Amino acid sequence: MSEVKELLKQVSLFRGLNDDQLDQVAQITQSESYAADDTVFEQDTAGDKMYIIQSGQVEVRVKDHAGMLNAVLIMGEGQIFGEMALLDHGTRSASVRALKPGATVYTISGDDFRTLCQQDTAIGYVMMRNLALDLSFKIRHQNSFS
Amino acid sequence: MIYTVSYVVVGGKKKYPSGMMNQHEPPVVGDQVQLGTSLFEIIEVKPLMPPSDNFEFLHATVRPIEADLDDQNAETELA
Repeated sequence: MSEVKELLKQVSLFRGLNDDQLDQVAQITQSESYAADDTVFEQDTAGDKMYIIQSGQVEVRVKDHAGMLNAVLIMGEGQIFGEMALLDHGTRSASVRALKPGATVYTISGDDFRTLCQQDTAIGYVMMRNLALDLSFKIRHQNSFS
Repeated sequence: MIYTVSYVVVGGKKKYPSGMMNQHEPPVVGDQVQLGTSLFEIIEVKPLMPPSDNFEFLHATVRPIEADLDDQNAETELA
């Protein structure tokens, strides 16, 4: 529990949560490990959990017009991905695979996330605000290409 | 302080993916960073968003070090 709580303190999605609130979030996380080149999820498939990278790096790949996967982003420690499916219930917008030497992540299921946010609206407010800020960060990152 | 850093490879969007990661130390011009299997040199750092709590959000422009080596090899061949 303390390991995941320490990780959560270093992830911007959870900034502003106090110790008790972080304990509640830690209770709904699950640890998963991926070897190098393992697929975490594939584009256009259903998904209802988000991922927090504890260690290692993952590669985000998007299909082009010909259906070929192109690497567009490398994500490392402390970053989250897969959160869009929690918000819009849509399919995965990209494929993600672990890079060498592998990656360890914590996951939060959509059901557990929504239940926690509804049961404790203070947590819900902070997490939703932080999700919006995280998406803002990603949009600004994307805008830097133009 | 945690530094959430957006990395973009100068002129290399098609060849190199960009990057995002959290760090305990801020990126510094001249330092090297590994994104995937490639090594890059940081050439510019600027704020991306205002700081919030103990998080700072930065944007770093990087260039591939391998390209520099290729350039050096080309210069050697020309000489």
